Amino acid sequence: MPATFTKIASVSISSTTATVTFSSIPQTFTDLRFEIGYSEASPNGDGRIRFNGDTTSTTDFAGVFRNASTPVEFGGSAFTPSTGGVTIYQNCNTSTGASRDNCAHNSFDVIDYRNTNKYTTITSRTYTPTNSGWTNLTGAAIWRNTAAITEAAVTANGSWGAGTIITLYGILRA
Amino acid sequence: MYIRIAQNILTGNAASVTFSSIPQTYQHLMVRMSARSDSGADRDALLFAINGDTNAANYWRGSASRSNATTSGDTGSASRTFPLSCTGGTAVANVFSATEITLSRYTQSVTKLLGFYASSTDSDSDSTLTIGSLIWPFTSAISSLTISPSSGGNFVAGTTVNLYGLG
Repeated sequence: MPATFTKIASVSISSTTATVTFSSIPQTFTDLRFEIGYSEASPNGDGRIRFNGDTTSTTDFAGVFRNASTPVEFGGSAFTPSTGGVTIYQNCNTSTGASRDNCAHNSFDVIDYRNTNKYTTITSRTYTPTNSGWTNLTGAAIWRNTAAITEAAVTANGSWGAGTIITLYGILRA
Repeated sequence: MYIRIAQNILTGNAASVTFSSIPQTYQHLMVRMSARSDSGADRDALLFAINGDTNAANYWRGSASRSNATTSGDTGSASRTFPLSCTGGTAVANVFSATEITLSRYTQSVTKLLGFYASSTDSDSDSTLTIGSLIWPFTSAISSLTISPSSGGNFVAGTTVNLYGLG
């Protein structure tokens, strides 16, 4: 595994930032991975990853185990497709007072991001503890666009707090 | 880069696996393991101790599982276990659980978060998917991590536990 993951770029946030954009993504890997370890500066809500600045293509999402109090599966008709990008389930905030609120982590794999003959599939894992309920989620999304991904904008519901680290890796399969 | 920091391939039973003197040079850590315990049940939980802290009251965990048609979970409880994340001794022979654990921002002065994602199998080949997270509400850096079967038994030979640094 070590030789197949290469860090393309990493952003460490020292003051609140709404969006981190990775542009000119190299077209030399097979897949991409985002690792987002964060503190959220704004109250509960969900962010997104938008590819190539696209605000019109539909993005489907399906997942299991959102909200651990009543584990559920959602997707299909239970989920309204988005046109704003892939949803980042956050629900992590500092406003409710407990120290355990101020941390969360999301991982996204973007599969075959250069291929132009199919839509792009994204798999995700989300770990967000809060006072009001936990969102521990594994999910998959489809960005209904066949373009190669050259840019990714990672946006918080409000803003990423200080201490957030957002890193983009390239994965090269053997 | 993902760099392998340490590797444990058990050739005999072991009560626990400990990573100590963890380098403080990465953004996150990841543990990937294939495990089975010798417990008297078909599935076991993994038990964690961060920096030697074995006080369950210092941890907070939420998780959810799906097994065949059954879901289970909790909204958060004082616990340092990851439920249903290790194959137990009475499960189908030769089956080991697959588990990935992310230790987010382990050197930063923030509350520590462990995210876990596991598949285990019980006695009739019924696979279980579990995902959850665990909070250790201290800001000190993580320098050691001990993983053991919650049952109090041993990991059996063939268990592998690898630690990676995400740079």
